[in-house]
Amino acid sequence: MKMELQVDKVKVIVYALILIFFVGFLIFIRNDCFLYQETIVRVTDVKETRISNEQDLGQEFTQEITGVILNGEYKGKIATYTNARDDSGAFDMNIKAGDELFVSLDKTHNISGVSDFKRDFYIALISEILILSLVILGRKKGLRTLITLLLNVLIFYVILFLRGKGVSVLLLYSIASILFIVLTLLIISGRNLKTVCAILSSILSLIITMVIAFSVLKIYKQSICFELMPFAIRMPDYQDVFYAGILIGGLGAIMEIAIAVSSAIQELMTKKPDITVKELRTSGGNIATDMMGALINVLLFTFMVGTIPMLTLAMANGLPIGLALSYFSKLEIIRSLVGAIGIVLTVPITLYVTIFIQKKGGYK
Amino acid sequence: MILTLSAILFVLIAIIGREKGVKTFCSAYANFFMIIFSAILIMMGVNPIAVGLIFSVLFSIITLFWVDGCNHKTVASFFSVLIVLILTGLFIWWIGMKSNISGFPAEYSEEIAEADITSSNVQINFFDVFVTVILMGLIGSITDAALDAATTVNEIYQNNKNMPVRELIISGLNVGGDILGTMVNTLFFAFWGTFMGYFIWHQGESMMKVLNGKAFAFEYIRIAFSGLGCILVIPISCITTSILLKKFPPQN
Repeated sequence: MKMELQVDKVKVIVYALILIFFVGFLIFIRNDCFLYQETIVRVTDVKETRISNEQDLGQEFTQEITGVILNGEYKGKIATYTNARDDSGAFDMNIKAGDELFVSLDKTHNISGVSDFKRDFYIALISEILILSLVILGRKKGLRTLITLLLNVLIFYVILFLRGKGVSVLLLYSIASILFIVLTLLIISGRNLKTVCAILSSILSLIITMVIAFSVLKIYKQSICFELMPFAIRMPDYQDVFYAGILIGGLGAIMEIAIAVSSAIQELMTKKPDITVKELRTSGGNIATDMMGALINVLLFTFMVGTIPMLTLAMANGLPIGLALSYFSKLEIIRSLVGAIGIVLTVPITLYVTIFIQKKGGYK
Repeated sequence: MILTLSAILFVLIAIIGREKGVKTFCSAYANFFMIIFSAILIMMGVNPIAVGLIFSVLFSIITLFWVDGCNHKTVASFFSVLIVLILTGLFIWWIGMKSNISGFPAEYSEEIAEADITSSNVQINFFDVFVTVILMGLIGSITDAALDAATTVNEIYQNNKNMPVRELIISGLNVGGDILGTMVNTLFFAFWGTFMGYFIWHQGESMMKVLNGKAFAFEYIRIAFSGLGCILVIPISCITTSILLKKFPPQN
């Protein structure tokens, strides 16, 4: 009884500490201006006046902004700025009281230009909500997912660093994708036979998918405008970066299918040890076909929906829809298609690999 | 090239998934055209958030009821999706407003100039467009997660019909964690393509400033909400399915 009480006490203290840490971190991020070299201003007041006629199609405004400088040698001083914005908000800033801005100051300590908003508080807030809900709902599994995510971010960081040193992006990602598969699956589903099957099948599926994708892309290389890929302008190796993006894009989905199929096969074999290969193929295939559609949709939504703002802007500016699509959606369509091919291919590959290994590994 | 890749996909999916595979292929293409159609509607001046909501509800109706028929699982999933859409929708709107992530980031300006689409006098409220993009991005994964959770609860119920609602929900939640782990990873890798470009672009600048950038913040908030949607929808779907099964037990 006493022991139990103590365990409960320890739990309460641990939870309280975690809560304090999370809240404390948010408060810290809210007041972290001293970490930045750029001057930061917190907006205290905005006076907005319309400068266009009321009948005009696009309304334009000027904003008289007053704010307090939060860091640097003019900390605490009041600064003002005049900002222009229109009601579509496509390219300009709509500054509101309470916003924090990165600014440059002129000789009279007044704001001469605003470069961007400070958004770190909201990024920290949403990250904390994500982490907490992941761990609260997923418990151990959620914690493991979190660890894989952190490890993967770390690997990506190393890749970026090595690329800066001049190593080829495509080579880096090819090695890294195998590392991603092994680490993620090992951590999420543990060290056992079904994980081994899933890892081998994922790697095999990834290789076959990429052989197909890269040969098709090679044939049609001329018809892709890589120049319009987001962020391409400053990258000398943008083609490699695009190929690497294709390689990585479908990786998560491939792993998801592989682990689902290999667990399903193992369960079927444990439940009914004398099951035939044909039966396994049918029931495993049924489970996988259900998942396939859902995952293809997830990729499609992730990739295609992101191009909607560009498409609408392009069409509203009079670009015909076909041209707009080939400018801004083509690369995303290719990415979705390659991802879908990977998802579909993974199903039979995992079925056969798992059945083969499980049969060798003792199950009849 | 897109035709060739589509043809390869079609052949593979038809061999491996048979009839259901072909159905999957068609519905993926239908979704693709629906996304483009939404862009056209927004361009024509229809309110973007209305377009996004109608699109999401339609998508989830078609995915749930067309593929799996009308039953306890799909009805419960549909309600869970609606609840999560409303909850996350409000939250997305708030955080979008606060963090100023709408509008085209500076990194895109050269592309925009190259395509000669620089006029912002277009009668479209881009704040609404960017909120809609986040909302539409998560519908695919939450519908999937909702149905997965409902299927699990239904299976548990079929095996033990006398289980009280509370226990039903708890055992559903235990399995729910499994769905979550792989889903979050799928989303993470899918989003990395964009992040990679962004970080390469800003290589050498101060990391603190780079993490505040609009392009990063927008994509990050998008991925976070897709994950958050899945995380939220699993317990909600477990609860609605359990209650539905208990209140209106299926006759068979």
